[in-house]
Amino acid sequence: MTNTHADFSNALVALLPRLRRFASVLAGRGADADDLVQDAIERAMRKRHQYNAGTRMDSWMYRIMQNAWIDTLRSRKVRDAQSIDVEGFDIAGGDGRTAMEAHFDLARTRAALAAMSQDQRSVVALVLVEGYSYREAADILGVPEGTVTSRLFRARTTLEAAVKQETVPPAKAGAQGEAS
Amino acid sequence: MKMTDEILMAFADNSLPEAERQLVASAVASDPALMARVEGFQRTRQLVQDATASVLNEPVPQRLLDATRQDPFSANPAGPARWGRIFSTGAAMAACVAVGFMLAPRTSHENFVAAPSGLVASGDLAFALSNQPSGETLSGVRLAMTAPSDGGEFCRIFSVQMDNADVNGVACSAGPTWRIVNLDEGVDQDASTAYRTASGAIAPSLLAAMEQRRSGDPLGVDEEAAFLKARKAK
Repeated sequence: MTNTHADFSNALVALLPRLRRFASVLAGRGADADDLVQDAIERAMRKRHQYNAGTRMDSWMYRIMQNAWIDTLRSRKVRDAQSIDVEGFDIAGGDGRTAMEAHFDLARTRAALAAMSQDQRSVVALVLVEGYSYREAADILGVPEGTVTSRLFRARTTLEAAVKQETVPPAKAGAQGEAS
Repeated sequence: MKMTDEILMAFADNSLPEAERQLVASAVASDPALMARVEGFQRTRQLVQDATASVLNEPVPQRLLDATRQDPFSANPAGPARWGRIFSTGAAMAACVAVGFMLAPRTSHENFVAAPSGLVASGDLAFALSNQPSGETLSGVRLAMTAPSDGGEFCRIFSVQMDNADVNGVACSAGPTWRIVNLDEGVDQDASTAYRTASGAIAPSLLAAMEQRRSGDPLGVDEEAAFLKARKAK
């Protein structure tokens, strides 16, 4: 056994920035995302004997985090039926309008992510952000590869719409609509 | 091969098998319209990467770093509630064994042993569960409540002193064996004083676990005495 407790902890620490990024796509920016990372770390620490040294720890952790997030959403649904889908991404602050124009695509993309279903966000996080293939993402999520494809396609449609919508000046919106 | 959106998207995401990838690559190279569609998918990919990249450069909160250093099997502030949850939600066998393993070295009397069905009481704890009235403390074991449960079982809230902590839980039995159905470990000695002296101060998590389990009212003093006597007679 070369996989000592310290090795395991160090590998987790090295992954933390990416785990936080993954969580921010699933849960939005803010405390929810870090709560999710912490939940996943605690789960991983308890079942670290199940981790096969030599396999990809990031994939293992993303699977744990995905399950942790599903559990969190379920328990929230039981507590109150409030949807959290559009929470989290902070796109418009005090002078939000100016900031939005300055970081236009960024803001629209974050808004689009926030508007996506949880299923779509998971696929986006794994394939578009982390660079997994559809096959690998399907394995991590425990769904067929075709499901990954269709969720990703819908997610991209949302992204396209969000970005395109605001790049077309209002006066030309009609003409653009007819042309496409 | 028909160049559907799905295939072009999979191509843009490097998710096609090699043979297909080559076919699509040559088709895309000779058709600007196809190329534009692929670039559209690449653009949305880039958008998402740009929109999420800043997180990577943020300082990691200390609590996350701490979480990677914690021994999940040691008594820590986050521990008791979690163990309680694991057990009350119907306990994987692995978790039972893990807790048995955790607790075993900490007592000279082996109050818990791991059985194939989960954790069961043994030693002083098993004796106390079968013989000791609620409210009494003997050999470091205190019983706090007895109530009937489904299937002719009775459940009891117990507290065992182990090292400098109390291990509290709920055990249920219909026969000779007491199954541990809930554990709440890690209450330190000071905090447990209230639990010892005031019968009303049972840990809320245990009361909640008992609430879920019990099928009738908790036994009164006389009913409990009769229950214990009947067990002995069996």
